[in-house]
Amino acid sequence: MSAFLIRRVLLLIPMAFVLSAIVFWSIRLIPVDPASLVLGPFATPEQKVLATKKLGLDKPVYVQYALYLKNVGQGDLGLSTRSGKPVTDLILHALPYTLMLGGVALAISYLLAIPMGILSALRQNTFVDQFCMMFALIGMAIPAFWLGLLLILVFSVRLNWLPAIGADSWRHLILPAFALALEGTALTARLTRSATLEVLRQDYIRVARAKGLNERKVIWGHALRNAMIPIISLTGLRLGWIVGGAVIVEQIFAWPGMGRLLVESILNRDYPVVQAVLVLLGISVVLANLIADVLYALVDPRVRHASR
Amino acid sequence: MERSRFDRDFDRRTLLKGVGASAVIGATASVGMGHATAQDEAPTSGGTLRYGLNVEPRRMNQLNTTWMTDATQHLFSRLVTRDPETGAYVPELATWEISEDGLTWTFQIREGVTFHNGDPLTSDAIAWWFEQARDPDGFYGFKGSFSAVETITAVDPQTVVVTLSHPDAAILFMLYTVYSSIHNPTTYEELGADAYGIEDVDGTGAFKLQEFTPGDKLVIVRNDAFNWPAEFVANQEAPYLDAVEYRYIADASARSAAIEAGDLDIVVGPNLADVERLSQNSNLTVVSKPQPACRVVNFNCEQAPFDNKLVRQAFAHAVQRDPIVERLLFGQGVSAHSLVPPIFPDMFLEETTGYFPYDIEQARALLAEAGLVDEDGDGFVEFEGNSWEPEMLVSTDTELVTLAQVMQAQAAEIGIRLSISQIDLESLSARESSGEFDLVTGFYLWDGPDTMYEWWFLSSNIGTTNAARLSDPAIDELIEEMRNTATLEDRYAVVKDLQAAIHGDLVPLVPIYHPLDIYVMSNRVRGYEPNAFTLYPRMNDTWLA
Repeated sequence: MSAFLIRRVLLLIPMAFVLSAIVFWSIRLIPVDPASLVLGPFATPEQKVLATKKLGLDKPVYVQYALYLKNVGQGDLGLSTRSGKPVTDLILHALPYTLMLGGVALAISYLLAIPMGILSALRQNTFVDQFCMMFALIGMAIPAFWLGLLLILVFSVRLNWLPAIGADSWRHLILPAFALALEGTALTARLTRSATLEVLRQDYIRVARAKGLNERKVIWGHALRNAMIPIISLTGLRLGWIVGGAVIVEQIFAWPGMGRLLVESILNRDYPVVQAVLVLLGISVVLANLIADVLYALVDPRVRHASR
Repeated sequence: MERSRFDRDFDRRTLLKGVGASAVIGATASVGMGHATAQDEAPTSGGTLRYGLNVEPRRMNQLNTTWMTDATQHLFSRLVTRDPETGAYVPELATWEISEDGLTWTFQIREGVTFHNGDPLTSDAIAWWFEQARDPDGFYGFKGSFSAVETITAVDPQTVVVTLSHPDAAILFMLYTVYSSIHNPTTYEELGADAYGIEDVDGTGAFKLQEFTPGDKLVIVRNDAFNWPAEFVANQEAPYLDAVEYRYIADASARSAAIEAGDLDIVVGPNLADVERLSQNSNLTVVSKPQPACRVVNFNCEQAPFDNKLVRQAFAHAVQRDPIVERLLFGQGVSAHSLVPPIFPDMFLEETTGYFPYDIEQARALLAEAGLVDEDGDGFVEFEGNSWEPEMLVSTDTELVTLAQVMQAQAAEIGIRLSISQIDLESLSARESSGEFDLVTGFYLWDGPDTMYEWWFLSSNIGTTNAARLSDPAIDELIEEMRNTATLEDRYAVVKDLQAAIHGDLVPLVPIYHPLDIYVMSNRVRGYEPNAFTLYPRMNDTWLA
């Protein structure tokens, strides 16, 4: 197990390296040069040349990349070309907001989805099941930006219960967290349902029932633990998705997180910030999958043995 | 018909009471009311105004960027400002005298003005600013506007004398813009040009910078020492508001929803489609003012057959502006016949509204005169015996694509088969600079529309700002004359001549519309009055009920 972990963690290093190179090259393929976006709409061609030089963008891309790696090695992620602030500061400001939003959204979606999925499976083809699955269908079909606006219109504009924008208190967190959670809730509920149904058809469940165990023990002790496996592997993927989905939700609710930082930086060709944010996101997706694999192994002894 | 509409919309006296009488549904009554209440009630101090921006605040050092944010208006003052009622240039930080020949400008700096850090404002800071602005290696965006400046001398602590190599009345305009904000040289040099405007700023404005977190918010707080606003400002002391908190909200619908929910007090640029709904909300007031801006369609004057002005004139006759304003802007705009919006009565040439009215017969006659007729009977004219399909370039912006489609339909009426190419901005500007197009859309937003004639039509600007690629010696001469005028009256007279020549004869472009600036305010906001002469309204009289 520990060898497995060490190998996986070590793999992060070349991965981050390759990812940063891909990001570094690809962002420079986007048209519109950063110098004119720094100087503003009235810049003269001469000023653009000067600014390009100042940003170091006049050098060949491989030289820029080498310089970048050198600075990163010294712990310097550079300055944002858009705002002039250190990239590290911007990320340290945005990251807690995203973790908070993503964490709460994830918690909401699991708290809703798992009971819903199990209930649907146990009451298969009843009204409860159909209701839950209809909810799941709608949840997956509704785009987050539309849901976000709808939540604002209902809970902020009409009812005036919750603030629409900003991130000043826990009350600001509720609407964006729900907007972000819905799609995942729907997906997880469906997955929980099908996984539970699958497990309930297994022989060992029949055995457990035949042994005369009460239904509660059969469900919670035997069925659920096995049904969790696909859900755990989904979690790994969803951590990356939470940040991806947050891009839109953060824009709508003016939530100062990583998604918003990323979008605005891309629009402004803020290379140093885009670079750092994307690499960080890449690493966190890989880490999340790693954690999912570890949980997997904890839940399922077969994985534990195979990885030895 | 058209004329009287302009009069009603842009009469300067009614401007403050809600410009778009016909343009903004239901706004006039509520604005009028707000105006009356503001006079009846005694202003109260305190509170934070929450302001929703449609553009993200960026660095606030006008010496090295031309980006601008609303807050810069309040953090800094300038030497000169403009009276919101008349548009006249009036003193802000200085009074001035211009010698008879227009070559010597003497600025007398107001006494008792201090920077945010407490340093007094002296002539050294002004002289320093002029030097920075014209520094050939600097990043100041408007160096060209001060090219006439020869020497700058701080004569005594309150007097600066600037001499020019030739008269240039437009300097007064430049000094009024936010780009001529005065900074404290000591703080500027301590922080360095890159950190200044991000970490901190040190101006003489009514508000001080408290917090700037890019991507989150920008907070400015009252400058308690401030008692030097321009004369026309009612509140001659420090502002009533404790603070203004700016938030950037990218999505226009989210901006509208946020002010409906009471999370913001002022929003700029709501979704045009939401304006009607917002103006029916009794908790909100919608105010609009014409922008010093113009949307145009440029011809490529070097490309046959658009090199023939008859063809351009024919096209101008085919353009109907009202349906465009209705469809693209939901009525939130005004038809344009000149680059100068009618809100600048001193320089706006009224005759332009009568140039090239919608007239299909006349358009076809002009095309025929230029040798473009439909011989094969397919409903479209041929050029030199071949079928002719001029290409119009647009970016992928929805508003512009719609504009192009309307243009296509309108051109078809006079037998011109227009093709539309939607391309990304970078490719578009590359093809625009190299002249590979027949028609291309253009836009400016700049409170000195007179200067646009120089940027857009001077032959030496072909390849940079002269998108229509007009090269006309008479125009070049007029522009040179405009740059050498000693007084604004003289300058505006030339600007009128330019409008007559450009819009009445040469037609290198067709002006389409002047958009409106739309502000949505909660009813607790008092004394916030957008006016046509500042892109960013003042806040000294603003308070929260």
